[in-house]
Amino acid sequence: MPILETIRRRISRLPPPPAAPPEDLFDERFLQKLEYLHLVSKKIFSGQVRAERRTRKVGSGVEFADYRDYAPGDDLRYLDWNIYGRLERLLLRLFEEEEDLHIYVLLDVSESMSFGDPVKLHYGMQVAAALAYVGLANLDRVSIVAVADRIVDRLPPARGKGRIFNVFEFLRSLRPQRETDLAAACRTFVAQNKRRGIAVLISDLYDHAGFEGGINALRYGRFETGVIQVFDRSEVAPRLHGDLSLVDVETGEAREVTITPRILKRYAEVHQQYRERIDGFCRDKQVAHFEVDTSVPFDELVLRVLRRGGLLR
Amino acid sequence: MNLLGLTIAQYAMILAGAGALVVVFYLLKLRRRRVAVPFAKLWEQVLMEKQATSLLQRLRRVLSLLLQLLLLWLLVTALADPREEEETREGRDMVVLVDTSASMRAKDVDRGDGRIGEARAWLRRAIDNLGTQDRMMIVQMDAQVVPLTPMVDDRLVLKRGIGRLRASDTEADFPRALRLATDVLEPGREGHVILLSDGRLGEPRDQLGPVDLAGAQLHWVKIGRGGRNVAVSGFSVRRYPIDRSTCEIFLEVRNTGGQDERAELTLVGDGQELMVRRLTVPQGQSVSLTLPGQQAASRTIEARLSLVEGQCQDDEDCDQGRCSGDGRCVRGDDQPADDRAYALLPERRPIRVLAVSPGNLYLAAALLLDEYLDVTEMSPEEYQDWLAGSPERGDELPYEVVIFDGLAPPPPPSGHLIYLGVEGEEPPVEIRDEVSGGIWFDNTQSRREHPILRYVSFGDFEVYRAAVTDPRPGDRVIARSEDRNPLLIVRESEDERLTTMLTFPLRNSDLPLRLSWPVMLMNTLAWYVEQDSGFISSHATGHPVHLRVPGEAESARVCGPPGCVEVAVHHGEAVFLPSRAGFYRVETEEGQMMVAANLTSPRESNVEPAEAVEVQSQAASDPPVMRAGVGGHIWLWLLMVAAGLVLFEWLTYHRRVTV
Repeated sequence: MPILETIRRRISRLPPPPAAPPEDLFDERFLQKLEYLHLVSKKIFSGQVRAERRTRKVGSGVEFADYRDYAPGDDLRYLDWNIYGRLERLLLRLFEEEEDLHIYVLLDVSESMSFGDPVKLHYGMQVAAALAYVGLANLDRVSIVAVADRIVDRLPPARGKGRIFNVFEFLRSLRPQRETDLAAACRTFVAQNKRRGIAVLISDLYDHAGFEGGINALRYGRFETGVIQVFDRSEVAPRLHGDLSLVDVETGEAREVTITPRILKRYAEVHQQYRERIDGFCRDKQVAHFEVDTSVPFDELVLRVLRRGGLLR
Repeated sequence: MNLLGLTIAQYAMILAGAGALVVVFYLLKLRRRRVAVPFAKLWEQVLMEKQATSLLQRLRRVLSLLLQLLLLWLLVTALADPREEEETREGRDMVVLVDTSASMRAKDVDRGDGRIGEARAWLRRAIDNLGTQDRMMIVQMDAQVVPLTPMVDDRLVLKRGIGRLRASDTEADFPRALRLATDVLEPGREGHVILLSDGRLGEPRDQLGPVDLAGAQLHWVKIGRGGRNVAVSGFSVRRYPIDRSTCEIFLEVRNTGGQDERAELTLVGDGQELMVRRLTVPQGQSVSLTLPGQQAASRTIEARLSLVEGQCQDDEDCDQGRCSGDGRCVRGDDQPADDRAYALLPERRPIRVLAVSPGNLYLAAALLLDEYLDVTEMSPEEYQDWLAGSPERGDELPYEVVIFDGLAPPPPPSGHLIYLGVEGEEPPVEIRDEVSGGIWFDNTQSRREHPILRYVSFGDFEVYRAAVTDPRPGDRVIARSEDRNPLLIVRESEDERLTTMLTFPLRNSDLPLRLSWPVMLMNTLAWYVEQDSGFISSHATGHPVHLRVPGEAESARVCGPPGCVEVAVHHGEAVFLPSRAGFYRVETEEGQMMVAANLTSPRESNVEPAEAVEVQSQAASDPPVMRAGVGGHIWLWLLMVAAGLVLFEWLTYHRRVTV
């Protein structure tokens, strides 16, 4: 409801929503960069079989993956009798199942993503498009999901480079909206997507309910989770001074403050602590975490993601 | 405390209105600018830590409002121009008569610049403490009464007037100054006449009678406390009529101080020291000196007077003086204005004289008396030849005076003439007859005031033979015989030629045997060339000098001790007023003259201040109270406090003390 949204912003004296993404967001130069990223990814992962990826799903594959305790009802063919002979324990052999890789790019489109120069959402769109291109080019199934306090929109899974323009079109249609509730959105996502795969969450992680809920939902849904945290430098060191009323762009809550250098310094410390907390959490949960500010070119970020491995290949 | 800039109602309205405006603006300022942030939760964490200081913050905000209101009050109150009660009462008009007569040059005060300096200092204090409604006018009072400022309350104008005060060597014209003051004071306003003087002002009475103060209050600021003074109260110099190279000096020294004094008199002639003499002058008495036979000076003579005090080794032993050769301290007294006197000697220049005579020892001897006479002697035949050839040499005769001794040939085209006997080829006067034997001068009928007859007495002269003449119209007979026959005739022709005629030849009388003969001849020559033979009187300072200048100049330049001024020449006279003692040079295109001016006023030489000043039998009172303090500058202090507060607020704000 654009009219209602406009009225809400007027009442709350919030800045108008950012305009549509610029036309040159996915221009020819962008495509050239994507092709370059694809080539680089090939070089990094040369010798890999197309669509071959060991998933965490254990099943009827031929490559041993792990053991687990026997439970009634399990297929007795997979019992390891040698272990039983040595240890007198019934352990079931697990094998990795080979299947097509599903890549889910979850892009945060909440109001907080409308900040920054360039706008964080536009930056996130470029990163999402780049990851999608690499996945499509590797014949993986790529789906893009726009999340805020729920799933706002989604692009169904697709395969092949030729679908990249669908990706562009989908991304261009996205606008910042609603509050952030990653936990709710991710829970919905997990419930709707039975096929597990890689879930890359691109967000600023400014979630009033806590960023952990969303990541945990993905983890618990057995998605191989990666988090790309996007922020703008002006959020770390805002150029504010004097007596102000700070309004949260999502909730509309206002807080009066007189900005002094001491407060700015303290804010920078708090922001740093918040980012460290995210990083620590991801490290503890073995979630790949990439922190980037929007001044870093998106292709550099994607290369960083690719080189680090484990998330895409 | 009263407000002059605004009424109470205006003050209250402006204060209330502006105060309300400040509060409104303050409240508007409290509606802070809204700024959207992506994640306010982070800010909350910061602000929670600031909660503890919020009370202080609120207090600071209240302080900020109070500070603004205080600034507003300071500014509005400054605008209202608050004054103390004393300042706001009805204004006074004050005419300050500053005595700048010679007595105010005395140095019997602590200040180095003498009484006039003390008067200036008093005036400065008075101007600084002038009430806001008060007005003042400064008038310089000496021989001239000169307003130095209009009646104003502008301190700057008044202080500029102080800078123009100069003491002179003249007497104060007190009645005229009082009349000016009473004329200036406006009726209906409180008028004060303040005298800054030593009180030696003379009677407040002039030709119009006693001065009426017309209701004005007279105040007197007594300046001076008395001291030591010896004054040159009389000084004149004259040449001897016969021997003009020497002169006689008359000098009078008066002690106007409070003790007997020993003084040193120095005479300076033409810039060279002529003589130094010590003299003792008892308190309140005068000592006269006559110094005959002084030969060194030719034009100017100056008398300088100093006090002689205790013994000394060198100059360092003498306070403000010098150590003389005989080991005595010599210094000026407390009144320098009357320590010097000036006199001029008649100017000497050669006079070209042609004596046409068959040979006359008496004439030749008389002409030898004056070394400044350039005498040429010719016989009558030589004169005829010379006269015949003179047109070839032009009309300009090289002789200023031609003397015909016992003959009357045709006169030369120009030059003054002296006929010693009128008979001859071309008599200068009509001769009717001739008388002889026992002709006596009649002293009662001689014109003794004529310059020719100065110092001349005809009492016992006898003429043996003389012509009986009929003087022409315009001729003046200045000596007659007892039977009224003209014996000495002078003529002033229209061509400015002067002619003196003795109606008898020199040898036909016993005149050449008398002292009066050379005196009369010298007088005649001096009269011809406009030289005062013996004496030039000095002028008194403060009195106008009317000086006849040569030619038809319309202006003259007068240079003297006060400087040079251009004065107009009216009816051939340059008129100026010498304000300082000394020599004055009057220059025109035709030439220049000198005049000496002296202060010879016993009143100005008296350095003891008067006991009281009375006008209309009413003694002058102490000066009116000038209110001291910040005066009309309260608003300025308020502005300074406001500026200080703004500066303090600026510093604390930018150092984040108050935010």
